[in-house]
This record gives sequence, structure tokens and C-alpha cells, in this order.
Amino acid sequence: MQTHPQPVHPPQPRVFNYSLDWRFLLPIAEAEKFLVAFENDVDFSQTLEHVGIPVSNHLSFQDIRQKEKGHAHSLVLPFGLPVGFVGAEQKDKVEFYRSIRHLIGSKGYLLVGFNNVWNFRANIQSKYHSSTPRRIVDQLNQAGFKSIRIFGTLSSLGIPEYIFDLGAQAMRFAFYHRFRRKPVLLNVLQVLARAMDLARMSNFLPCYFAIATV
Amino acid sequence: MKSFVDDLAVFALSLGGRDHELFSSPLQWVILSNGDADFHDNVIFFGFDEKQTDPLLVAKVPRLIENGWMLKTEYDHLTELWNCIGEKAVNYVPRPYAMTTLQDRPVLMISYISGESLTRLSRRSFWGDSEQVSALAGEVARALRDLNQLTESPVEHSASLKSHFMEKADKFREIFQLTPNEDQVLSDLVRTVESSMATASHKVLIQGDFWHGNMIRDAKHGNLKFVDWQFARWSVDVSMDVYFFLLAGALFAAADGTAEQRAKDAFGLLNNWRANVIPKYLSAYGQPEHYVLLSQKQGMLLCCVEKAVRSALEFGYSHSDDLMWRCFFSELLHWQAEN
Repeated sequence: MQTHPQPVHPPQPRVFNYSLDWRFLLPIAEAEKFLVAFENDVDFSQTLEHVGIPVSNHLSFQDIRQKEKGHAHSLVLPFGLPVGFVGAEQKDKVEFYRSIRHLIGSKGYLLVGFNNVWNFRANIQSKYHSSTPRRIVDQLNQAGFKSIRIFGTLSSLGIPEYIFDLGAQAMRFAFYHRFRRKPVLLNVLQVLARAMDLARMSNFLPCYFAIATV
Repeated sequence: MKSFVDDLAVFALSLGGRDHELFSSPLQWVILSNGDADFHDNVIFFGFDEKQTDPLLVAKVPRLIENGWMLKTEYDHLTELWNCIGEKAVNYVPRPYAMTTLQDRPVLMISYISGESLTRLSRRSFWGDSEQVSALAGEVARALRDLNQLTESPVEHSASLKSHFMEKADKFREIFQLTPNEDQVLSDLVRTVESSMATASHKVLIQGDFWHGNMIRDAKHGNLKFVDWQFARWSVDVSMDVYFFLLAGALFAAADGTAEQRAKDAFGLLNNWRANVIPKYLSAYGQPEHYVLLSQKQGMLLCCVEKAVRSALEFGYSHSDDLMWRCFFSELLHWQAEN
């Protein structure tokens, strides 16, 4: 009797829930010196290790206060500010950003990922504050950060399929390719793009990454 | 140190000859993550200037540094192809701009091909319609043959063109449990591949991953162009490219179920294509005189073996699709030899 074929040695690849492609928005050659702060998540921690960011550089938000000055090349908050640690008011967030500036090296960056406040589906279960590009820019400016740059992200912070500059060409290309299998949605986006310019549409993306220098 | 995307822009702006630059505007980027969170895949950067709708260039970067060899293979073979056939290459493949290292990362920079990827073709309404598949297959076969003819060149050192098929067959045996009959078929296939290679006088550049997902219909001229040359190689045997297009199309149409079920469904579809699609496809490709095209059954079995062991040989792990290719091998044992 013939049995179903099965592999004798089935070393399956590790399937990760995070792609970590935000690394390319930073000086990736310094990745092993990035400090990455996030709420407890073993899977995310293992993914960071997989790309060479050691466990010693994974921070809880409790740890951040105890870190010494200039410890990191860059500081990454890939999902933003945790609800359980930073207050919801603008001043709380500015204060938090101000309090972490000293951790970043003089040529380093801060990277913050965040869901849009309009991204209701993602925000229901999120442990992190949502925001808008304008608010984040304002908060980082007030906290003393410079050269702030926002990237749009489709469709999630964990495995972003597209990360893009918010210029018209880049946005149009990302929309078209992301939604080309959904012609109805694509048509709606085109109508919206004609009715209001793409710069305004950039306020309604599901999530973003912001980078800034000290 | 600059961010990686800023260094990428600086490098792109530096490209060109002594008296001109290829790109002059500041670049904006769209980063496309290939393969979800598969760390053996590449990340693709599309670079835009401020005026044009289409990207000016494409940069491919591996998520893991050790996989840079794939991009080097792609760059080397695209460069060889352009050197071999000159400006005609623009009708078939992207133009390789540069292979470099930025921030310790291998980076391949190539031209952008404007058009629609054939991955958009519907599983059911397109791949289930043999008339439409037949028309596309004929077009693909003609383009592939044209390109093969353009790169055809005499074999000078036969030793350098070893098929390595025996190693792949050994790996296939190592990874998967074969029945005695399967083992015998595989041994026969190895002998056929080796002996047929000895009869060839010419080599061609094969793409190595020749499925519709790596084809783009040019927006301006409507012709098909071929991308992703990371598994390309010179070979005296074109069977891998020729038959892989058929197998991948059939598997794409059979999208649901277990590996066994998908292989069974794809085999059924391939059998349906015997009446119309496959004869037209092979007729459009034609019979090569100076290099090898195996028979349908042998060529398809060869594709299954190569695909089933590729991840293991190239990356050291087993991909979830490997078992499907192994099951397809099993199904294809029932393929009736053509007249």
C-alpha cells in the first residue's frame, strides 16, 4: 500500500510575525547598537535576535528610565508609546520623548511606529497609543527632536507590506499596487485623490513610522 | 551615519558616466516587503523623483546579509545577458545599474519595468480557461525561445556546465521518503539528464524561476518581460524554464487544500491542458537543435525535483511548498508519454 509522501527531514523555516523592515529607515549597519523598547512580547524579542539585535538591547518601558546617557546609537519604539506607561495627554507624550533624548547617540535616530487614530480595528486591541502624523511631529518638535520625517505604512506595523515617503508619486504607487486586486476600493481612493489632494489623504493611512534626530 | 534610505539615494544619484548622471532629482522611496516576514526574502525599494509617475529605479536588498549571493547571481547574469545580446535585452529584462554594498548590505540596483505582473491573473477565470491559458502560453513560449536563441552560444568547457542534477536527486532522496518505483524513476531521470547533456553543443542562459509571477506585461509595448534572475544559470538544457511555466501555472490554479490535494488537482489540470495548451506551448517554443529539451514527463519530473530541494540546498531549510513539489513528482509518474 502506498503511503502519503512525507519529508524525512522536515526542517521548516521559522515563521515570524514581524518583518522588522523599519531597520532600513535607520543606519542599518548599526543595528546591533539599536535599543528597542516594547511591551513584553517573546515572539518580537526572538525576531529581533534573529536579525542581530541582542536581548541586552531589548527594553521594557520600565527599563528606559534606568538606562545611562548615550547608551544607544538609535532608539526604536516600533509600536509607539504604551498606554500603560505614558499618559494620554499631549504633555505626557512630549515629556516622555524629552526624557528619552539622552539615550540616543549624537548621530543616532529615534524611530516611532504608531497606528492612526482612525485605524479603529487595530486600536481596539492595541497596548499602544494611536496618534496622527501632525501630533507626532508636534510632540517630537516640542521635545527637541530635529529632522523629523514621516513614512506612511500599509497595512500593519508588525509586517508592513509598504513603507513610503508621503510624496505624491510614492503614495500613488503604493496605493495602486496595494489595492490593485480591490478595484472598488482603488476607484474610491482615486476619486478621493481627485477631490482632496494626496497630501491630505496621507492623514488617513492606517499607520506610520516617524524618524527624527537629536 | 546616514539612514539606509538616504545612503541609497546618494548612491543612486552618483550613478552614471563621466559626463552625466543617470538620476538627478532627490529620490523618494516606496519600500515593498516581499514574502511577509520571510527573512530569506528581499526587500524592494522603488525610487521616485518628484515628477514622474513611475519609479526611476528598483533596488533589491536582502533582509539577511548572508543572502546577498542571490542578488549577485541576478546582477551577474543580467549583466552577462546585456553584454551578450546588447540593447535587445531591453525588450526582455531590466537593465542592471549596479551591484554594491551599502551599510554592509548587498544592494542590487536595476531599472524599473512599467507594466502589470502576471500574478494578477485570476486563479479561476484565467487559469481555469484553457483558451486564455493557451494564448498566454504561446506568447510566453515564443518570447522564451527568442531569448534562448539570442543567448545561445557554443559550449567551450563542458566541465563548467555540469547539471548538478545528481546532487539535487540525492538531496531529494535524503529529504523525502521515496517508494522503490519513485527511486528507480529518479535514477533513470539522472541518467537521461546526464546523457542528453553530452549531446548538446550549445548553452543558453536560463532564468531558473520561470513562472508567471516573474513576468511583467510591458505597459507601453504589451510584450512580456522577465524579472527575478536570482536563480539564473548557463545550461545546455532548457527543460527547467520550459516546463516550470506549465507546472507553476497549474499549481497556482489549484490553490486550495493540502500539498497532496494541490498536486493532485494541478496534475488533473495539466492533463486537461494536454489537448490544447501543452501542444501549442511546445509547438510555439519549437524543438531546439543545439541544446536540450527533455520530453514532457522527464522535463516536468526534473522541475519537481529541482523545486523540492531548492530551499534545502540554497538556504538550508525546507520550505512549505517543498512537499507539494514532491507530491507533484509522485503524481507525474502517471503522466502518459507523448507520441
